[in-house]
Amino acid sequence: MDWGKNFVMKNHTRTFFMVSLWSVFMASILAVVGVQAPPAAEAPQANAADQKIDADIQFAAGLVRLGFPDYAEKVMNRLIAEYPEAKARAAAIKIQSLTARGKFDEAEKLIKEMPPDSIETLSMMLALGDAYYAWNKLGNAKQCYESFFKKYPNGPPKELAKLYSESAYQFAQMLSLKGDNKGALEAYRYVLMGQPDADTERQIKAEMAEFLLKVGQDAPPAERKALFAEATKLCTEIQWKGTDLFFGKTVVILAHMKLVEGDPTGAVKVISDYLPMLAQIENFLKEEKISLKFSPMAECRFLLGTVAEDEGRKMVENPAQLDAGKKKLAEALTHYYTIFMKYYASSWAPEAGKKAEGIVAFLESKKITVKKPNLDMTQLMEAQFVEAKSLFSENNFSAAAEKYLEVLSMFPEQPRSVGALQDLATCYIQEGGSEPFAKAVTQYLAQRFAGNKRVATEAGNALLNIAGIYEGQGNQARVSDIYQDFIDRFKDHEKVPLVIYRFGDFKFQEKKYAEALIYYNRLIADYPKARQYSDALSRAAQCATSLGSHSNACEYLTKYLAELSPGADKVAATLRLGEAYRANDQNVQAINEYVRVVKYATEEANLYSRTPEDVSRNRKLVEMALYFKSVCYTRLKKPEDRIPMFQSKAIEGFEQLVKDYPKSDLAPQALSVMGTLLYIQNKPTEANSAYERLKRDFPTSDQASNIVFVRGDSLLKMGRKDEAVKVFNEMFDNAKAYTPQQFMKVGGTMAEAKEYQTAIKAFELARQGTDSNTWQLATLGLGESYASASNYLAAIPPMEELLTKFPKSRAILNAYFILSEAYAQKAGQEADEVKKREFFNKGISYLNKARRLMDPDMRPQADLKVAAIQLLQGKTDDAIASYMRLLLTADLNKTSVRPFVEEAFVKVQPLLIEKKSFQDVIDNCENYVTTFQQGTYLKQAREWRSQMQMKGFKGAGVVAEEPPAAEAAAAPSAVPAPASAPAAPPEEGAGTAAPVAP
Amino acid sequence: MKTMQRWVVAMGMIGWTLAGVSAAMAANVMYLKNGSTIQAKSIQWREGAQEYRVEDFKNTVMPIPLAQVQRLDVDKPADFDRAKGMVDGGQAEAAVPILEKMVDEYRMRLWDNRARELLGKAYFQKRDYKKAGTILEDLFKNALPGQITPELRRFYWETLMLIPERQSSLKKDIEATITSGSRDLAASAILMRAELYRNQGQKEDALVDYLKVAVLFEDVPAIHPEALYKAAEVLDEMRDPRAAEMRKKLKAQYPGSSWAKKDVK
Repeated sequence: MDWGKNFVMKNHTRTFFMVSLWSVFMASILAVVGVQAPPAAEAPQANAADQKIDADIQFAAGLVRLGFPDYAEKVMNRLIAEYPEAKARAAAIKIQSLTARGKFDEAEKLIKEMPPDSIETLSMMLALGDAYYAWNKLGNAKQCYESFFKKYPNGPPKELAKLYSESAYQFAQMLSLKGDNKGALEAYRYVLMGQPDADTERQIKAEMAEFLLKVGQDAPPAERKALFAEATKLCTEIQWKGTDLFFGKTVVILAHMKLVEGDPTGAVKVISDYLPMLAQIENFLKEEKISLKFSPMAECRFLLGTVAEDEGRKMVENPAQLDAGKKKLAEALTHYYTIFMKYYASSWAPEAGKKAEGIVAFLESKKITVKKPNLDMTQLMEAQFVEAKSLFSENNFSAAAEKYLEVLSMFPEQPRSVGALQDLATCYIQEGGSEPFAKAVTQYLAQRFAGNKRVATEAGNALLNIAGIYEGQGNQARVSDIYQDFIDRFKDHEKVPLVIYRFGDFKFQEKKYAEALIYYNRLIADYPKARQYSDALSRAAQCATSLGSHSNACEYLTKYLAELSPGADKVAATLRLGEAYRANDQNVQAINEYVRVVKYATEEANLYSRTPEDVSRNRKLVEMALYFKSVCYTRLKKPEDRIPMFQSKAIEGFEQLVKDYPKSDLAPQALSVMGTLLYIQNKPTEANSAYERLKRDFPTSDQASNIVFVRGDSLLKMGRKDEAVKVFNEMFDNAKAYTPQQFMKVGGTMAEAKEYQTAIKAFELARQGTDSNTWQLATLGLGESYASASNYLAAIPPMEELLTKFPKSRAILNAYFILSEAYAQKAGQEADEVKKREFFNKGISYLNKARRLMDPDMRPQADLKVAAIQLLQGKTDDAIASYMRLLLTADLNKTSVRPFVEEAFVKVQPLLIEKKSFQDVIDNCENYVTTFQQGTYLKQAREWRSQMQMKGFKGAGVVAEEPPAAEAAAAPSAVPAPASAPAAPPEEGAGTAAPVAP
Repeated sequence: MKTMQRWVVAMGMIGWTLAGVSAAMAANVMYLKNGSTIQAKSIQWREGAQEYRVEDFKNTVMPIPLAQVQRLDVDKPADFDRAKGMVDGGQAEAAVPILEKMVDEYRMRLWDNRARELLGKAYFQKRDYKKAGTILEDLFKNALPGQITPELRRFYWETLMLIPERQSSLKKDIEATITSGSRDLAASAILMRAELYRNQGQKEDALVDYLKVAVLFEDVPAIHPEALYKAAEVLDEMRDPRAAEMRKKLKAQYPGSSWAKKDVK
């Protein structure tokens, strides 16, 4: 007979006490730190500051209660900024608001900053322990509690007594749930140390007696004796002080102890002796219309039934005692059925029902007929759900799963079934080895209940809870599956936007920007009222920028800005929009945004820079805005007659930056560009002043160490290539004055600007140094520049020299590519067939060497090169096969591979058209349009597709394309400029004409 | 003797009745700070001397300095109800001259301020907010403390909100009321501040103020439901799902309130 589990969590009164205790508990914590519940305190305060602090703390406490912990924190932060002395009092509220949002690390940090032994700190620690418990972080919760109790081993001071007792009680429940009955017993002793009031003490003693029984029944005899003696003492104390539910509890405990000691007769006697009192208690419950589930009679009857059953079974086995045995079992059945029918809501009812069935089955196995009464199944099922839940709460997952299956087979689609299915899935997940079952239950929950309006919300929540369990186990694959099911099936559920956003975030963190955009766009289109709407816009803009779709980024950012209130975030977003415009070459619009950034952070600082962190952050943004505004001015080319004015504006902007932010990281570059502009404006004195200042104030900067290079680089950035080349030629003419590294820089810069001849000269000079690393890089640069200038033959000697001198160079892979292309080109120009074949083979052999060295994800690049060589060889079919193999087999989940696939697509289509393989053309188009919804060649793909459709061809396995909005998003869109011509930046003033949009 | 007694009683009753009738007719009463009252045939105000001229029913005319007067009861002007009907019916133009005349004629005699209140509303209807604001300020200057109700104050602030050049004085007045006004006025003032923030696009600041009233002024039932409603509105604008909870609280706590019955925008 296992009484052990029956005595866990079967005390309804304890549950009620806990629930009502919570609010009292929190109020006591707040009371300790001086927070009063509303209405406002009547007593006059000493001064205005105290009044303000009191009012704000009261307000913040109210905000936490109202479910606004985030705003409570903002209020407290503002209070502390204004009144640093309020930090201690504000900290308690901050703990609540932080833990309400799961920010435990910050809460712990806050506590560490407080004086270690103050009452406020102890209270905060308990609040933190509670919060950990609420979040199911039991280990952390235990630590918080134990460190508190260890401070008062002999009981707490008076002012902490209430808090102490209530915390100890909470602690006891927590340990009990974990199955640590000994620990729970010790915690109960702490409760009593706090000297609670009489009523509470009575309850505590009753529960403590229960735990003494529980611990004692598993203890060795000597220890059990002491524990039972203590329990008996407590029961006696309780009985002396009144006849109530606790009295009833003591009767059961005393009877049970008799049973454990092997004295069933004694147990029956205890109950019989106390029967009049038990009946009195039950009458009281009836009169007060309190549920009979609280009556001690249920438990007593169960005990009596068990004793009768044990005796009856033994007797029935003995033919001489058969009749007596049948009578005994009938007696047991009477007890069980009475519990079942009269006390059906009691936690004893399901067990009683089971026991009754057990007796019936036993008797029927002995061929003894039993007459069973008519029973109300609904109440039983309700009770069964409760029992299953109870097993689940005890972490007895296999038993709980069995119970849930039993109940669900009878009530598969009741509202309660949803919670039961969630628990069932959880049981399978926790059990391990039952994953297929967990998956089956989860899918059933999604498929069967999504359309059931009555329970859809609950079912959706259940699904998310299950996903949460997988996430805790690190099983991201299952989490993704469940989330996908959720967003596909529960479209109206309030949490769908959050889940879609999280999906997008997963992809974003993996740098799969195109895939992330799919989710963000879905959220933006389908859930414009969702809380995550504005965050989705911000993220979508980041994705678009990463993919190089700057015009799309501008659109997203414009919408994002419309959502923001004045504040530091708006300043940052405005700068981002400026950057996006600049990247998209919309310099006028960019200037306007940069001007706005400066205005927000300076003239409207009261709105946009409210905290010291805002001020610091915005400062950086202003530096960037000033710098890039000037850069944009340098890029304005029309009308041509206003270029000098644009340059002056740029110079003005750089001057302002350097003046207002002399230590800015951007100051050296600003000075160098300014110098160049002044030279262009024929102001050499001023230009030199700028350069002198650069050298004086930033002597170690890159710009200072190479003024000539800087001049050339600035000219290049301004689009003045010819002038840049002239400046660099100055360097070439005076080569001894410069280092190989400086020539490397020139070479790299000019190659990037596609000025290959100048780049070649620079690399040649860079190769003249002694440093081997520089030599290798310069040689590679030389080869690449020759190849880019289509002078492949000239690329061969330096590349082969590189391979010979440095066969293990890091540049080898690129050298192989260049040589493979160079030899292919050489072969193409060769008339002699033998030499032609030799050169082609050499080209292919270099390509194979490259392939062996390559990262597998980059091998598609080699496939493209192979196809290019095959084309040069005139092997069109082979080239088509190479491209098609890439299209069909590439792993599109890898971002690095996608550009090569796009390249293969755009290269193979003309070949297929020429070959009149129109079906292949249109199939490729359909696949491209589906897979690359933001693709570089989307427009071209649609054109080809239209052409094929006009020829009467249709794509096979066509998937519905994104609605027109996607098309607008993919193509470079019209700039969302103001309705009139772009307005002049606000700082321009009356006399200046507005820059005209290019 | 019995007849004599009956006659005295009858005359007393008649006298009493007449006195009652006279009292009903003569609703001009002056209450002095020393506790005494004067039933007056007429009460006039002398601006220059800053005193009232009170004519009692014995035709005695007494000058009473303003400092001695606690309060007045004065007969309602004949045109008051008609003018009020005009303002309530949207006929501001027609009501203005009547009310302006009333303000003049009843200066310092209770009905001037009541006329001012109506006049302020009339000018508001005509969208002459500056004039409305000026009139209300006159009203406050001339009113006794109990006459400035929270509704009136709120109306004044709402008027000032529509006058661009009065924004700083509006903010000052609101802040002063928040700091030292009565609880119901302070609650109104916080709501007004929230409106100002909202007009400037500062949604978060507006929300904090609505929440302040929601949390700290539950004892001002005239204002509390409005705060809950407007907090829910701003939460909706900020796409915060807690808007639904706020509406639920409003409906549960004030099921009969007009705010609870308003549609969600």
